[in-house]
Amino acid sequence: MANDTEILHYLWNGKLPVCFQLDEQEIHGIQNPEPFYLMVPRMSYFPLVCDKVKKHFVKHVDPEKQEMEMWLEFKNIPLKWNNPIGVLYDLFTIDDKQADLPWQITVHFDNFPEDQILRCSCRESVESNFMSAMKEADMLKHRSQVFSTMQRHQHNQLWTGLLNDKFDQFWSENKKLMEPSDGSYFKHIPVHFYRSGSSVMTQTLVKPVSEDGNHMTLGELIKLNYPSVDNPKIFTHGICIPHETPIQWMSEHMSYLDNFLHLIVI
Amino acid sequence: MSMTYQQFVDYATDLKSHSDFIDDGWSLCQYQCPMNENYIKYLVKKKIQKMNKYSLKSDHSDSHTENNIPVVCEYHILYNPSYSCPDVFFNMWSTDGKLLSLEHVWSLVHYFLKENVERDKWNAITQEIHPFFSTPFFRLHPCKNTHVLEMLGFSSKNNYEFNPLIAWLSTISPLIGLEIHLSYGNKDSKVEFT
Repeated sequence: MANDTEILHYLWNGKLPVCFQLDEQEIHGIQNPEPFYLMVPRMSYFPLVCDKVKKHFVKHVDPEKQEMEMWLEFKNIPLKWNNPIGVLYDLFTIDDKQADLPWQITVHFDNFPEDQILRCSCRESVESNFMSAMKEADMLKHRSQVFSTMQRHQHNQLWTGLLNDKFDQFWSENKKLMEPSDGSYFKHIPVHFYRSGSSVMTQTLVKPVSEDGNHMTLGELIKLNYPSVDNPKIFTHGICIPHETPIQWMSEHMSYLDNFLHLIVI
Repeated sequence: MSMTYQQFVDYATDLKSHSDFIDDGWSLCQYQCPMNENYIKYLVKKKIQKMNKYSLKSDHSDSHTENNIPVVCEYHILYNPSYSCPDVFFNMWSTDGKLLSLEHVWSLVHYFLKENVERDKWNAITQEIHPFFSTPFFRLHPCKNTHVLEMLGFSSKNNYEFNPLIAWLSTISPLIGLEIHLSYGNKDSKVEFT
């Protein structure tokens, strides 16, 4: 299981500089708010890192709208907060050679796009979303036999490890979820597939072993699921992954914290 | 305990045929997976119904307020390949088109299940992204579904006189404001379930 800890640390520490701006239409009063700059962990989720952003902008919107739920947009696309921040960035910028850092994100309070993104009224919605993804991932990997036998305080270690950006706290429990159950493989590999430029996610049952009994490589997996894509490039964590990489190894080392691989296919 | 996709389709087809018989409004739809272009079947029902909010009194005695608000409901019954079980997604709007809040959806849970849901609501019903449409829907957590199927004694190897999908749906229906007509329970099954 997850033996290359150097890679785990490297991915955990991945950060993105973001520049938040309040939507011009929503500025109330004569004073324009300053943009707000933040370094955010790629592995985290926007609602967990945006308290300060909200505090900074809320006083610049119409007092009647200050109680409304804040949401984020990039190039007219509302950002689905239930995806990890790094996935969102890669989805909408990896194709675009012009995407400069810091990442320019527009902040809104009005006109919440309730037909496109989930409501996030409180931290419990993020926790529930995150923990149910972990549970599903363990269902795929071990028929749920690890996650469901963990104690409540162990589940809390996972959640608070993410919340407080504490690698050791998170991995002390997560390593149990990354243990192959029989031999050296998971039953299935938890993968979310995306096409660059769209937040539509597709999911399918992925086996770690190919028909011939050898470990399945990333190239084989993509060929199997996207037969019509010529010469595909596959990204995760902003990195273009070599096709010969075994997906079992990727699942143990390159999954996001929800225990899913999030693969972006170009 | 696990249901295969083919079993799910058989059960769903049987449910749909009884629904046609009593004019209950279920339809069997197809979704084409953008990856491998396979068609995936799922059940859909849309309906406007009057619903009551239920609340628990502080002394935990049952109470419900008869307020009969009309609500536009859309139910999707999908097959969940991760859990190998049926999966229910639903949305509810007020008649002005506004999506109900999650708190409102919780309040519509029938009073006899209310206490269980209140205790653990974030693990019972939450808003999630629909796997086919990528839009927000409410969803009963799928691990609850495997639990219900287990309690009903479902195993993929058993033979059934009843349709397990109907048994499951009528068990969870009070959680999601869905009415299942009693005739689903005593209909003469035309299909042999294996």
